[in-house]
Amino acid sequence: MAGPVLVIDDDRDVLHAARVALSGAFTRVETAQAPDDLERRLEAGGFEALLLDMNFAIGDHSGRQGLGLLDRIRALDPSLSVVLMTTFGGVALAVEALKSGASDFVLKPWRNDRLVDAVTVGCEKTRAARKAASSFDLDDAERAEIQRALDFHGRNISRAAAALGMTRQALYRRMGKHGL
Amino acid sequence: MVSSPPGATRFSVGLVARAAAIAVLTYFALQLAVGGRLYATALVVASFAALLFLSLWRAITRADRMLARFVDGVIMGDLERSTATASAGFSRFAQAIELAADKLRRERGERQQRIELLLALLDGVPAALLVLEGSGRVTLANRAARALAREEVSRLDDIGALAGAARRLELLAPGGREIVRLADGRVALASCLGFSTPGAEAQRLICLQDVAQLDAVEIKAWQDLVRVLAHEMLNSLTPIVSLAESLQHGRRRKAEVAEAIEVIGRRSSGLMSFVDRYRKVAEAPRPNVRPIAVGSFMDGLDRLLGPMLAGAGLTYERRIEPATLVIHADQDLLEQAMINLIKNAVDAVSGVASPVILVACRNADDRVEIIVRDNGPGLPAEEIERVFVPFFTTKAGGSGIGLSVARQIALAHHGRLDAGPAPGGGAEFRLTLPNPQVSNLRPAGRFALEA
Repeated sequence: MAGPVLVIDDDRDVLHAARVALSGAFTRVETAQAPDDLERRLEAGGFEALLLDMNFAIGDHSGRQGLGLLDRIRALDPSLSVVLMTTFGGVALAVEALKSGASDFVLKPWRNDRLVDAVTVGCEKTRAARKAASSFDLDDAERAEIQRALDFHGRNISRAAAALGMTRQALYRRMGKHGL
Repeated sequence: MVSSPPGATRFSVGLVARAAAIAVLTYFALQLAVGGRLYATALVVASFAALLFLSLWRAITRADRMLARFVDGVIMGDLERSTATASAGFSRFAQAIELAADKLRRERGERQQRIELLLALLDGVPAALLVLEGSGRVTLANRAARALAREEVSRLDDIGALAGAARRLELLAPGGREIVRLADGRVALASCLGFSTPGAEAQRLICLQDVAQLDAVEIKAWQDLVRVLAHEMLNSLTPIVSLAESLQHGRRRKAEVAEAIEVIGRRSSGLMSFVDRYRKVAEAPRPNVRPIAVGSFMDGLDRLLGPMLAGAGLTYERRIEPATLVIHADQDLLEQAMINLIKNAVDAVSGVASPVILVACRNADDRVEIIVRDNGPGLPAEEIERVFVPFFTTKAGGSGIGLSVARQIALAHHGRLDAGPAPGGGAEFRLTLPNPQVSNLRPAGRFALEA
């Protein structure tokens, strides 16, 4: 089961419907009527996907505010997938949303299985992105450690390999991999 | 000023001398004839006197002839040649006439320039403009009207492009409007303005405006409306569709089912009342226009809104200039529009430290203006037109039709309702209604019509 997910919409009933529709498919479904306190919420929630209404502000029908909020979320957590909800099936708006980094978008009123699919794919994307980011971090750490050992031992491969606790062959292989 | 020329004194002396000579000669002739019985000599002396008199007469009537020639020149519009020929005698008079003629020539030239400028302006107007006398004769047609006619226009019937609409336009009363279909299939909005110039019979100005020019604005308004309608309906349908589906699939606890049904019911009736409100906007009101004394109208409004205004704890200012101001409108509809505008202003100042609402009514030429001003946060430029779009609202719990209904009412009176920034912050709504009693054109119109 994927999740947890956060749903943001200004309409209380839409939030209720989304919670009911998603509850069986995700570990936890949280809802918010306003994007207040978003930073703390994202940090505490550990969400794998965010379902966001493009027109969450009263009287806003352009979707601009939704896109602005999307930018903020991307800055806070670039790995988190955001699925946008909109009542307008405009192609231009959809293209703009995807360009801005949205993972997908669903038209209101939605079909429940389509909604579950879009959010599930979003969760998978988030997991993949986070995994890639962490493995990227490991590689980085390995390269930095080898560089440090080589510098410390005046590029003497045998002593550097001994200091790193690996054979000379293994060190050569890794130096080749990191281009050192 | 005319300076005294050196010849003037000499001329005056000459006149006196001639008159004296005539008197002396006549006396002598009488003495010769009566006293001396020298009839032949008396006759010769009398002839001299007669000749002198004739010369005196001619000198005096020269001024008369000059004046007559000047007046002729004014009447015939021919002031080109010098009116007063240099004359030994009446040079002061001649100079005065020459100056007057000069001034007239200059003023005529300026007036001609002004007429040409106004005619050029009229020709620049994209709408076809026709001025009709009471008899139906066309006295003025601008370029767009001439293009419609393709030839000289003397009556509306001459304009082939009008087809059957010519008769209906001829019957159009001042203040009237009508949509007419032209021969080429185009649709035009015809409006009629009555006016009179001092000393002339009443005339009518017929204005034919291509509806296509209006279309772009109206289509935009409709598109906005459809977008808002679609958004509201689809948003309300979202929980209905989703919850109904959730209820169909999977087992739900009893409380969950009850809650879902409650939401579905609430949103469904919400949709119904929404459609009802839409119907209210879509139905154009038909005003029953009567003269209303603005003072007592505003008193009635105060009684209606007093409790709400007092509860809001704001300063409510009212200005009516002049106090006897009369407006031509449907009392009930105008009341509705004013209530909506004032309620909007009350909402706008709800978060302001010292809220002030001003309602000012005043005469502005051929219309009456009612301004509702608040010192709230004001309207962002991009929202100025959007506030009139039905169901566009920035307020939680707002119906979203107040301002659009107010504008509908203004339009139904052939008036308008505009929004803009108020001086010193805040928003200002300006309701303008035509005042049919004042329709005389100002002098600028008179010049144009003389040509």
